[in-house]
Amino acid sequence: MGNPEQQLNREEIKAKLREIIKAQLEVDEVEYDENNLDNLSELEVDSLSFVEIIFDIEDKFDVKSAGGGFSDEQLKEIKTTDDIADLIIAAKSAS
Amino acid sequence: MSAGGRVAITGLGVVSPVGNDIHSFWKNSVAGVSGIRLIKRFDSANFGCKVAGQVEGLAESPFYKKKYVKIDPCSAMGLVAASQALAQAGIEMGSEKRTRCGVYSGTGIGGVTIHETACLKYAAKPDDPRISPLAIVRVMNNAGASGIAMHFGFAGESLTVSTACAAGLQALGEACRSIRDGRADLIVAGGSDAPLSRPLYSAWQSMRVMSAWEGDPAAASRPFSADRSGLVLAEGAAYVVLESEARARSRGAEILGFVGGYASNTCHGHLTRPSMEHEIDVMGDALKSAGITPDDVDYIHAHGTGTEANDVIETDAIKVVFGERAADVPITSGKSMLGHTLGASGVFGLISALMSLNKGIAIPTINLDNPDPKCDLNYVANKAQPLSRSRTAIVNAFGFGGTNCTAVIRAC
Repeated sequence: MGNPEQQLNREEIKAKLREIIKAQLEVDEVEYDENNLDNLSELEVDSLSFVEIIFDIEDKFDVKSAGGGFSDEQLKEIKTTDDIADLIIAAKSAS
Repeated sequence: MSAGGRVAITGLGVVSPVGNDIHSFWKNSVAGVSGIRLIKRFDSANFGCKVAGQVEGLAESPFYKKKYVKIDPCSAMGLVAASQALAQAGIEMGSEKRTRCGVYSGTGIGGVTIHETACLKYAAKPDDPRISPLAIVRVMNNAGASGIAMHFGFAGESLTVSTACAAGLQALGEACRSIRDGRADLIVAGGSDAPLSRPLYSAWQSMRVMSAWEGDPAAASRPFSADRSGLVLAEGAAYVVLESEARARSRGAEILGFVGGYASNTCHGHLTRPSMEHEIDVMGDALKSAGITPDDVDYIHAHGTGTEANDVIETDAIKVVFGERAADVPITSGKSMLGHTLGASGVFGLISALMSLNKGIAIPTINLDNPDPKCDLNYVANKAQPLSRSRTAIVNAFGFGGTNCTAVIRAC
């Protein structure tokens, strides 16, 4: 599970991700379970809202790549906030 | 419009500089209240025109949804106005597929606020502008119509008309034709525009048609006046629910009036200069389509922009169509109070005219203390007037690009 510093960072990242997801769901007036924000695949996130969430995440975490953010292949694999945190940590390590 | 039964109006909705519901809109219109204020949307210090008709308190409307903060004001205003109209008609929001229901919507310029935001972001950082992934679907002209269709589960034909200032009335006219032709049972039709963006304001100013009024903002919009100051831009949305009379009666809906006729043509000679000949034709064709003569018309809601080009030509065209009766038929320019809401303006005119027929009151053209000698008809100057007869009205909307529309409204 990595070293304690990375563990802490991961939790901080996930907390920020939950805030971003929650803000989007609230604006969209979608009902959600506060304790289940980590499981994106179980939330009623519209595909367009999902794109907006990812865009917001890329901006807030300053994720850069040749295409300007996460790749399409990476996005297809996202199911949980852990998946996104993995991508952020990897992107940060690479930059 | 030919055979196929009458097209009934069963719901009205407005978002406007003088009120965000029909009740306050009508009350303020009768009282001659101006919705023109100093511009709050942006710093107007560098603009010659510092006034506009602005919508206030939209988020307080019971029909406003939190998610509308993400879409362009043009679409948000349209959704709120259409929701009001559908609520009055007794049509609830639904996710079930309504294949015989549609949305016909007009907009002159669509989602320019989001477009401006995207352009500014791009200009500030062209190497990595980070434009919202949903900017396209929010800027597009049919964003408003699709938003309404999705909200209400309307799966029938939807159409977005973009013919500048005639857009909303043309959308409404086409909606009537669709119902008359049996292509739809019910259509929410209208127009929406939110043009208060800085680049667009600059462009309007460059055209030299904008008001340069420096006095009380409420007095800036002065249609038919000798001291007219030019056009005052405004934002707003106006929608009505249209359905066949048979359907409306069968479901027990309250019928507020009928669209009795409609015509549209194109002034092909110039992009912006109105043509008296074409305005005469479109009013005449609309009367013919309603099967009536000028003698049957009790009230005219004029296009009345407050520019010399429009006011004088529209007056002359009315004189030709109505002959000696022109002097007797009350004429209003609602733009004196609202400003020019572009694609929504014709539908504001239609709603005002319908309310006028139903209440027997012609709303005033305000700021008309000093009429242009070339504009010598009864423009209901400054104070509402009772209508001596209130069965039929016509509504004009003339747009840049040459589109002219006239609709005939009949009371119940």
